Amino acid sequence: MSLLTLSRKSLLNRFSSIAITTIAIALSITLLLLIERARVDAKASFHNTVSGTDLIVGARTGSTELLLFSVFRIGHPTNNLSFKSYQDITSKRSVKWAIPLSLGDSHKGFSVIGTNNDYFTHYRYANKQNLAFSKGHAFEQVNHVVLGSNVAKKLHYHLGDSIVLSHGAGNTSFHHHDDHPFKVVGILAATGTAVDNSVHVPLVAIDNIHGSTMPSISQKHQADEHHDHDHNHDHHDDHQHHSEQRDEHSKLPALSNAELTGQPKQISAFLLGLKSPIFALQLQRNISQYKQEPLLAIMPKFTLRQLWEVVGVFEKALLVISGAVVVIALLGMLTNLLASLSQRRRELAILRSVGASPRTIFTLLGLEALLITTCATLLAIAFYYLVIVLLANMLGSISGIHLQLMALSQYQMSLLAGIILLGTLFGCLPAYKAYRYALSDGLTIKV
Amino acid sequence: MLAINNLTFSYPGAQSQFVLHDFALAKGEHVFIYGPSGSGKSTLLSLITGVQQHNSGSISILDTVFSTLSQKQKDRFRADHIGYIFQQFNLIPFLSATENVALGCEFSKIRTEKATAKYGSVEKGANTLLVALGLSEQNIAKPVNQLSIGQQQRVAAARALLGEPELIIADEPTSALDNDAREEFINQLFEQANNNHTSILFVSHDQTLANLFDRQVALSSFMQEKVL
Repeated sequence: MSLLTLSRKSLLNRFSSIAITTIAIALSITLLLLIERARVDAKASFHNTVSGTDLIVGARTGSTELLLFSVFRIGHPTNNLSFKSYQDITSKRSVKWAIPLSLGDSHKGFSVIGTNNDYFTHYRYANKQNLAFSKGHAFEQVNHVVLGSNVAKKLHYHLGDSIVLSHGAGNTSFHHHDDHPFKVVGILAATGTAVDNSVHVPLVAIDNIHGSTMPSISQKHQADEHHDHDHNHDHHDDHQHHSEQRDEHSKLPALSNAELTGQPKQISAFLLGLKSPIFALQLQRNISQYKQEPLLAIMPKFTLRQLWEVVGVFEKALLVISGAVVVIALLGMLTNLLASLSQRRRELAILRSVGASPRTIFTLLGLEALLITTCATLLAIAFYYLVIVLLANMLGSISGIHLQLMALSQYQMSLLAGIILLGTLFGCLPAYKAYRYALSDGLTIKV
Repeated sequence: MLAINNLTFSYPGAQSQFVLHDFALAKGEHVFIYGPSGSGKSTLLSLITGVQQHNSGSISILDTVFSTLSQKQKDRFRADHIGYIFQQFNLIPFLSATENVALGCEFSKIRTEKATAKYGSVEKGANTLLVALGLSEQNIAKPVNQLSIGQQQRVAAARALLGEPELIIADEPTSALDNDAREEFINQLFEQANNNHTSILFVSHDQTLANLFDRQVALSSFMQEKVL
């Protein structure tokens, strides 16, 4: 029988009180692991929202505001910038690609984004990942709509469905545009970013929603639907002769990106990808000093970091609090071990009589603390994965976010190692006390 | 095999000193030491078992002089060569009777080897000794706190005997037993000890059992406490 067996049996002898102590520690560790995971996930999804974009340009406002509405789809642009400025800036030589964004409308609580097909080609998130279609394809006609994964899931929309978009960002809008239905042609794969909660329409259609202009081309495409608008925009007319039949329902040729963009007066913001990141600073300065109208350009990475410094404080505070909970639980173990010690002096004297040295007694008691914290840690890992699995099922059905069952991060591992170390260190106190007893009592049994 | 010569000892900070003159124990000898409570019994036993370190003079067991050993070596020496029986509360409550007996070999390689050589394994040896000392198989299987005091003391005796240590120290192991049971216990202990030529040092304040031993010594005849 080894010392370890002896410790284990001694612990099992005091099963109920040790079990409660162990569970308390395990729960506190579970909490710590979950909070750490949530912290990392929140930070990752925050930083992963946009990537590969060198500059975001909007009308002059706060840089956080610009980031929030353009990338997180939180809040509204207070000012728009003229489409002319967009064309001017995007024509610069250092610009590789640009994505125009028009925001401010909503559909059943989800924000509606006017953009063009460059969005689906160039928008990147996480580790420079492109957007992917889980079903369907990008815009081909003015009345096409591409949904974020969460929108499709929550509103039960499928390819081919007709939906009606309203003006204004509220959940309920009295100003419905029943006369401009859109057709769902694409559903994006989940990204875990605000894209999942966005409804994408061609930029040119934003003006249609507002009822100001209506390119004639859309009118002709939608002849089979209840359309009676009579706007004329003949600069698209030559395209209707295309014989390409990519959309089997409308059987009309796909429009070019320029046609999908149209000629709006204003847009809310645009994302820029540059040929080389070294142009970013120079271009940012140029845009800030843009003569025609006051503009603001931000580097999303930099602004994200600034914003996180504010948001991240709460996350860190939560982690510190849960760390304190673990320490309190370990103190509970210490109390338990110390309290049981006086009842165990007999046990210690017997062990001394068969030749256990005071150091062995110390090791024995230290082992008990190590065993308790190790068991608690293993239990906590089990609890943690149990919670993740349960939460994944729940979150999966509610929000479409997929919590992944991944191995513990290195930081989580080091947290666990730190806890075991701390627990064992705490265990040294009763162990030292037992060592003193072993020396002073010798073979005298003190009950 | 045990020899004490002109030994002095005092507890740290104590105002008195113990002086021990000559005392010796031969191999296989069973000696009864009479000591009323407060006569320094515990002190004598902790000196012989090497738990306390004496100041001057000498104590040796099996020609090993204790003053030359470190604390760790003394602990190992005790594990290897001394079996110990307490007055009562001899057993660790969460271990079985067999495990309690096996504990006697836990910290000693020599005793483990001896027990294995004789019985095949430490566990088998433990059970054989328990049966030899009068415990039934059923009693061996019971949780130790359900055993009677007499049975518990037999488990303790088996632990002291297993692995054939050269010396068994018994600190009033019969004080909680009634008269008939005492004699039976002593006889069974002697029988097993004689098999291995084990010396027994039996300390008690109760002289009724004294005539069962080879020799009787009053503690006061060789050990005195002097005020400094």
